Amino acid sequence: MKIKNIVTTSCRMMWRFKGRTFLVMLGLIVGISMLTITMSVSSGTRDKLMGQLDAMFNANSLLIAAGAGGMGGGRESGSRETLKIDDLRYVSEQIENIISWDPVQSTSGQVKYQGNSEQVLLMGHSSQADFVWHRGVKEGQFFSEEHIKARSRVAILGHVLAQKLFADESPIGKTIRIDSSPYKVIGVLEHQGVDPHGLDRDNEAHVPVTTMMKRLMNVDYLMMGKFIVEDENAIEQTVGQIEQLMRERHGIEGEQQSDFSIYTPKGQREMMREANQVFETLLPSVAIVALLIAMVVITNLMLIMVNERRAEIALRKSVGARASDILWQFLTEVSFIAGIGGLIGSGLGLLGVFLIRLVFDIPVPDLGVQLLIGVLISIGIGIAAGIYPAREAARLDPITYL
Amino acid sequence: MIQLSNISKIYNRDGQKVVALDNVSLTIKKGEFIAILGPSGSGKSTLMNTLGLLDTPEKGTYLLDGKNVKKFDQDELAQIRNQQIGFIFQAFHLLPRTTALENVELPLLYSKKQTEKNRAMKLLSSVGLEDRGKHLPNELSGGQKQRVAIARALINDPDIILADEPTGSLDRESGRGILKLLTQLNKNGRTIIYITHEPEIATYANRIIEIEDGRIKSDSKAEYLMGNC
Repeated sequence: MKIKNIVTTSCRMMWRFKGRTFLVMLGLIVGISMLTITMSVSSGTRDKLMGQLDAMFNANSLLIAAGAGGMGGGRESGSRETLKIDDLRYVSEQIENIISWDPVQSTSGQVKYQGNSEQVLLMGHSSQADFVWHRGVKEGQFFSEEHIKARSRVAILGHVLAQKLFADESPIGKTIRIDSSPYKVIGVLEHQGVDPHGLDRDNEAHVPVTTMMKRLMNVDYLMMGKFIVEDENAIEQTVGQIEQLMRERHGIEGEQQSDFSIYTPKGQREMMREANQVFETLLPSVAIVALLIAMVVITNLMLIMVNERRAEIALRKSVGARASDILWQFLTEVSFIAGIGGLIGSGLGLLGVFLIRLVFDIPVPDLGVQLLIGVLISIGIGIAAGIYPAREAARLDPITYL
Repeated sequence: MIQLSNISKIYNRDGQKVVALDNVSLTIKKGEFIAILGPSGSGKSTLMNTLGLLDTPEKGTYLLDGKNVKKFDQDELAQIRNQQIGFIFQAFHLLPRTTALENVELPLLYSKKQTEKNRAMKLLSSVGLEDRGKHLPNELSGGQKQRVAIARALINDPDIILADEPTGSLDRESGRGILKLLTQLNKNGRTIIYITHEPEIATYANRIIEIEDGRIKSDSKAEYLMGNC
């Protein structure tokens, strides 16, 4: 039997059994559209998170956080109040590999300009922060050594916050109030977006870390610090050195737990990957379950169909169809149906992805690749589901049904 | 052209052995017009299926054009059915929701030979249905359906036509039309074998083989009957 004949016969048969064809398609449409959405969403989020992590936390940097539990962890009183600017300065002077560092303290507060007021995250940084965090100003100027030394009342705003407070006006040189005290705006920060913790890093205000500690919080300790090393291959040794120097300085001995934690980008990346893996396996597995159900449904529908079409199969065999002709006819029918179902499913899924994109910031999916994957998976499932019924059809003994 | 020697076929029905064909020997020459006559359960359908290569006998040999059909595999048998045998069934067995013309063309799907383009239409005309090509089976009368089935049986120009109770689902008038058509085909040189349980219908043939309990009861050339049609 020629391929053209198989295809035209299959198309005719599909059309003749429209209702059944649609039911077979339906399961695949649902499954494939779910798969398309979950694949786009989960891989999109992963790429985005990893990209942010890379931008914020380069391979040549490491973080030191106050407290044994680290950022957001352990709440034991006292343990988080021991990391000082002098600690960081001392460590960076002692260790040759460290080429730059930035002390960080943060709180939240009210930022006001004329009638506009916003409760935002306030970050205290040093004059090195633009280099250390790869985030400078897009307008105005960054903190200077003088600002840090003098605990100046100056602020740099994220562009979202600047927009909220000043609308279209330029904020540079204007005076805002942070917790009622006047601060002069000297710059607008470069765009960063939403971080892995869900914070909009463009809706925050930065002040000199010294100003933050003395004037806004009245504390003498830091939340954390970031170091930049020269040789990123030696970063593990540097971590060891920092640990040793810090424990000596803080008089921590033997088995006693450190009052600080050190994070390397490698460790952080692995943590992130693990967290993401749950997300990445769970979501598509829902779609895979849907597809497995579709497969069982297709097998059953096809068995019913073969049963209904026994007379047709018997007739075809009596007029000269070989078993393989019948097998291919049914497999072609089911792959056609599945292929079309896959196409519709990926189409709907992509539509879903674009709707999701209206609300959440996920990357644009690759249309061609998604459609192709959808169609191929669908055909694969169709054939896997159809092989048993098609073989039953091919094996049918014509004399029983004529 | 067909030679059956000592053919036996035994079915297992509910644990009981049913002898459908018992040591049947039969020779059919090219151009014969044969009626196989017998009551239901006599084994005539099994004989028909055996002749049509749809069923394989347990014992005995079947030579078709001098070749033992046991030597053919399933695919080769399918090809012989496609090329050398045309089937006509009591229940017509037209594909539903498929036009008369497409039904006639069905065996071409499985044929390796090239067939002239208008052959299906010509055959429909030859059975008197030139204006029914686009009709679906449910728009045709019983007699018309059987004519479509005959056209289908002829599409690959087979030597042998096997008809299983071709008039069984038809009224007397349409049945007579079909038998006349078969007679006409025989006169054009085709070998025709049909089954019936009605002695009257068997009289159209020029050889009547009576079968009972799987055995040939009588085999008579009835040349004197030819005048009837």
